[in-house]
Amino acid sequence: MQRTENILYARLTWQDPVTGEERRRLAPLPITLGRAGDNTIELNSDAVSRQHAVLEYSNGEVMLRDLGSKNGTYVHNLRITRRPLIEGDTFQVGPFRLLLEFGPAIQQQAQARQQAFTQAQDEYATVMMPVDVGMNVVETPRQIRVRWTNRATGQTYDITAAPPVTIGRHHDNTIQLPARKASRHHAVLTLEGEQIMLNDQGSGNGTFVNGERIQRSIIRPTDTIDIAGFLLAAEPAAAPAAGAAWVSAAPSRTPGAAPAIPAPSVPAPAAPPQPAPPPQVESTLLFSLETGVLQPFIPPPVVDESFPPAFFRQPVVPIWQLQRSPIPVSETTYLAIGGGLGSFAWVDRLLIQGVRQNQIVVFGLDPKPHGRYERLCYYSQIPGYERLRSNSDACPDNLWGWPSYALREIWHSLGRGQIGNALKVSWQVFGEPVLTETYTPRAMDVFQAMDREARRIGWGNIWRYGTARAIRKTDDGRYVVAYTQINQRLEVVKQLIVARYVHLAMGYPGIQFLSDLQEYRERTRDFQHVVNAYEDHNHIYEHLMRYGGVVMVRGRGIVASRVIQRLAEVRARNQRVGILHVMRTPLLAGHREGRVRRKTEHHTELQPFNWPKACWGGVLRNKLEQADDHERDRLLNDWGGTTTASRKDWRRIMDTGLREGWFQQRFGSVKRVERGKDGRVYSLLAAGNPQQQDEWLAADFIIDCTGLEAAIDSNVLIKDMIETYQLRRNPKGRLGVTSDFEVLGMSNGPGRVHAAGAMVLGGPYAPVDSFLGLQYEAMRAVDDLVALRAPGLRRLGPLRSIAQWMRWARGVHP
Amino acid sequence: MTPTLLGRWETRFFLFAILGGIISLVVSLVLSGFKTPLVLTPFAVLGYVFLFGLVWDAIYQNVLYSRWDRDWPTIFQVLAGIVEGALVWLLIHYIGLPGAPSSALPLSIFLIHYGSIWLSIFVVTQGPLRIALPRWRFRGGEWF
Repeated sequence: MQRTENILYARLTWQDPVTGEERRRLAPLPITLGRAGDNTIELNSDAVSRQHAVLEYSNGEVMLRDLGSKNGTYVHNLRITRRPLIEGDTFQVGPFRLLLEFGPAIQQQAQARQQAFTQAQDEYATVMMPVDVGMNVVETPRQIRVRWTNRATGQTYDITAAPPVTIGRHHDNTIQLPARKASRHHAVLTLEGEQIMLNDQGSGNGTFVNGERIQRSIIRPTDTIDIAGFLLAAEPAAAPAAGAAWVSAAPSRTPGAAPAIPAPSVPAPAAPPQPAPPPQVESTLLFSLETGVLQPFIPPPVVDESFPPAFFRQPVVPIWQLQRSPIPVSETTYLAIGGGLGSFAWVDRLLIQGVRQNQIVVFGLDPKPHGRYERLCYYSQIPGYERLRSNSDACPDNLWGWPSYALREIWHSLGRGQIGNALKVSWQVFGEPVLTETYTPRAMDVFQAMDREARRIGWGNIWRYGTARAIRKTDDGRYVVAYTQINQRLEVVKQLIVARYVHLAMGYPGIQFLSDLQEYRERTRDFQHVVNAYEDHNHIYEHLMRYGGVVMVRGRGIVASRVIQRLAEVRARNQRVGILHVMRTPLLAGHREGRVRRKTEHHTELQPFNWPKACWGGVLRNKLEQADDHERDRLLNDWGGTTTASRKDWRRIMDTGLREGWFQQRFGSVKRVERGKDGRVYSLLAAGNPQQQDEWLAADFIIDCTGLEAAIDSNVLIKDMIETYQLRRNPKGRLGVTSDFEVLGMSNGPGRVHAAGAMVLGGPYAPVDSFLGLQYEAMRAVDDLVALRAPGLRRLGPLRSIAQWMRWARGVHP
Repeated sequence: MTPTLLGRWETRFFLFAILGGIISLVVSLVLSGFKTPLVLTPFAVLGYVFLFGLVWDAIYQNVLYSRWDRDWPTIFQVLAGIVEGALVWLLIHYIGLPGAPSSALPLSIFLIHYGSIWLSIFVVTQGPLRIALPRWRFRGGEWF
């Protein structure tokens, strides 16, 4: 018989410091916390003692007690030995910030679970989302969205149309401008890749972009085009349906009225379903399978039972079944799935090491290998002229890393007579990071160099537009991949491809929101005032430019720094902009490992790159590779986390803002977010201590800059592969790989599957998703294939390496 | 650079042997007026710099571990070059090392000899070495 004594349950919520994935645990008190495996909650970091702290029930209170830990247990930034906690309190153990809940709702939940609940399990907050396998939404070709204002009347217009978008006085233009100063055919907007191009058609009075008269110019969404007194802005838009030239012509709006926010360009869902379904899953922003564009909601799946075909239900597919299948089958030796930076690094190396173009196939959604990366950079406020957080000799276009981007910039600056910049960069690479800030390359220089390399190796000949849906082993030591393409008639074409060596590099499966913001978005369907930094959110900056307002920036790290920089730029033009920077906890001392401590500034840890530099190729790389799973988890937690770079301009913005009051930092966990009657968003910030009241903070917009990654199960192909072959996950829940990045459990006779990028974080290598890291992963994977005597592939020894470098230098095909 | 101790030693050994050997031979030929017997002092100096360097490398590695990034900035490489050269010259000049009589080694010759070895190694390790050894930078300077 069970005793009727009250058992109190508590739920703790915290984040993995590296992947940002949220973890929860519901367990009866007492709950012990520490690094050792016998604790109720094991917290894997050097900064956590083996037996660190305990939560227990004593005299009607929930008590947190430190067990004599080395680095201490903190509540509201005070080191404690014993302290009663209340519902919603947070406390800090090493790099982990834990939220405590034990209210009636938790007790009910615990009771409901008790039966199935022999031992409390970790729950992952990110549950995989149903992914659209429906073929009915086709978002190609891309369109252009143009908004314009008649300065004379104040009327505004908004259209989305397929390019070319012609502008002029004549009625046959897409946009007719009723002004005498406009020429009959004044200008035209076209799409070149992802970019909008504006061409003046020899107009009498000229076309102006940001005040400068142009003949031809790239148009960014923030640019203002002036034609005969009309102000126009243009941005690329995904067409919601094929063939529709005019999608919407919004009613006019007068400036000065209630601040209306332009609709976001991410496709909003159709009318919400009548009874709004309860949010069963905590969803994320996922990349659309069809277009690769981040979407706030994925439409419900349209299940196509016929694809992948029925024989994919078996783990090993006999070749004869493929031959009899009505679905077209093609063959290749090397198959890269992803088509982004990871695929590019692998393919570049294969070609340099002797494989021919016709032996390789690449699937992707963007013809440019840096397409998605560039888009995410752009949305997170790194336009082409800004610098990336990447090292000078991490060159995706050159596997030797020489000449580095700094050398090339010095060379080009000298060529253009910009002696000042040449000297500055030289001094920077010489003195970094001791005497100067670390050199980082300009985004557009990297992208242009990659385009050049893509042309050199013939990337266009091996890249195919396609989405891989599932992978199976075949009975002849190869793999078959089911994939879909969209043909010129915009029909979905289902196909199979057989390959001996497969490389998986599909990038981040998605981006997760902070749970309170996700809850708000699902409840209110307001995707305009609460956004993620990686979404297109330029409407916020445009709105602020015109009307001013307060923006709440959530989270610390490099993305927050960029967004704050952008907001400060807007503020320089409209003084009515305020920034509220909200973080869970203040941070005064950085992370410690061995005898070194990471520096901090404005409550953010500083590090030139995402990881300590020796993780790419030094003592820390060796250490991680030699460590076991448990040790790797601990090392990654200590080296990673959210950090930002030390930059003078960012420091100045924050110092000035703090002094003048337009930039403020607040700490605490947000309990709830609500939409106010005045149209603003209010966040309930938990008070630091029990004596204080919780506080409502008002803002016009909230930008989530935490950059949390979604679990890899959001990717259909990976999830299916893990389930079918019962693959082992690493401690971060990602794909388990060998030191050569071979996916454990996927080898098939001579066939091999290698993986790279975010999906292997938690394995033998820390900077898996960096430029240089992807090149390292490609090097290990290809060297592994060389050892297997893969056809056409040769070892990259010194002679071949020198010869190939010379071909690179001359721009000749490898 | 983010070297390991073994990487430092290997890189030092091979670059001293190849670049140091060639430069020392040239200096030696010039000093002996292109006649036999060759003046062997440059080779002795090279040997001493190399041997002391093995110890220096262990010290540098200790410094490296006190940096969060566990890296070796360019400026440190420059300072290390000055310190190493100064030590060897002072030892030869004031204490004397077997095989390298200070009379046979005026400061100007030492500076040219040591300076060109150091500069060539500095330039090569800053980049071009990676062209011949594409895995070198990922292995913390280890050659094999």
